[in-house]
Amino acid sequence: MSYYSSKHPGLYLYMALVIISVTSFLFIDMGAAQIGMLTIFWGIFTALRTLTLYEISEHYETYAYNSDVSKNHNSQPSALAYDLMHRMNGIHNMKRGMLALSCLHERTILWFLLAMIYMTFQLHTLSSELSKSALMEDMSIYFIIGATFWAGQSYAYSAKISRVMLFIFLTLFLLSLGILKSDFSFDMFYPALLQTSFLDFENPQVILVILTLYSVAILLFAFVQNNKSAGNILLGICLIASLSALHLILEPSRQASALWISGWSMFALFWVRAYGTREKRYILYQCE
Amino acid sequence: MRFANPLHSRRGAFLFIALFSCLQITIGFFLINGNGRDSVLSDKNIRSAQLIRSEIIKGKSYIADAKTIINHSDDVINDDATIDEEAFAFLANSIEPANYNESIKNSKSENKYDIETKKLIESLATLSTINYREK
Repeated sequence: MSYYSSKHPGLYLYMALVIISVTSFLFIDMGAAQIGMLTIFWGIFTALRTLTLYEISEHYETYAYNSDVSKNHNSQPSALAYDLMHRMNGIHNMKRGMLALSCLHERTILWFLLAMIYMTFQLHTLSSELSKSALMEDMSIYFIIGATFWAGQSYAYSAKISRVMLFIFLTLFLLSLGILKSDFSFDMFYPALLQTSFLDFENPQVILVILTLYSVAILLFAFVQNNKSAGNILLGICLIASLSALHLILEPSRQASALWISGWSMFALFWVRAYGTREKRYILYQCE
Repeated sequence: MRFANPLHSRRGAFLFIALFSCLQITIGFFLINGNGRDSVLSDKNIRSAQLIRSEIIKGKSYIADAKTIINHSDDVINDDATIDEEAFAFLANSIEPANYNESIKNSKSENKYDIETKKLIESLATLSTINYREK
């Protein structure tokens, strides 16, 4: 998984992992062992993706300009041409990788800090009721949701890819909505909304509310800064609103995690595209 | 270089994500191995003994529940519903890990040991439910 040799390293793996996790949460009665397997896959993928981005961030110049491809092809008559082509492709891919680094922006890091606080708070309040194993399973599910959100952002730099991703994630989201139809209790919406006390700081739901409001605020801030991606921003706000409404009316279960995974991975696209620059850059090339 | 610099100081974030994913991989292994609970106990004998002891503790809590029900609602439960605490105490003593390991050593095959374990668990289960059924 390196940007030097591939256009979008790990993209198919990411999509396959999202599809596998959503469908397995929906159709299989997931036990501890299955959740453990999924967590390991996601952990390995996240570690690999981190390494790829680290390579871009730290070794961009070294890789782009000082490749050692020519050493391998020196004996061939077309060594120079081959080397040049390889370097040019490498530089193009590496530039794509630079765009992927936007998933490490401060706003995203702050989002993850809030999510971590929510997770630890909730696990702390539940720790007396649940067994150790159930707590570990919950933590793994939170991790899977966070990993889909983060890795989704790192791939959404290209308009073409994000269209494909949007199609796949929307299908998964609608599929899980259709399957979980029986678990919704629409009568519960107003009572649940009234019961959620927003000022009760002993309740972990407060941090979830803060997280949601933070996401909306970030999108609105993007709207003020750059009006070009207004469509993305409005769709993102609609999505986060529907996700939080679903949180109130959906009974918590293992199957419900499928909905959160597909919903948050879809939100990742709007989150990052809200800041995407649409204008084309024309760079004047000069010979040195 | 025009591109390379603005996103350079992200080492903390990289380290954080890498460490967290490693932690999750470890948790995943724990979940696969032994549901995150009993994976430390490699010895099968000790594990079974512990399982039985936990069953006994459960049974004791059933007894406590039954007792409170008897004390607080006389009209629901007959007077002749009794609790066999002595039988529980006997079983609890006989399945102490030390005693149990001795008995396993004496038994010849593993099959026999499994049957014994099954019998003990079944008897415990019946003991713990009898008091409720007698209502």
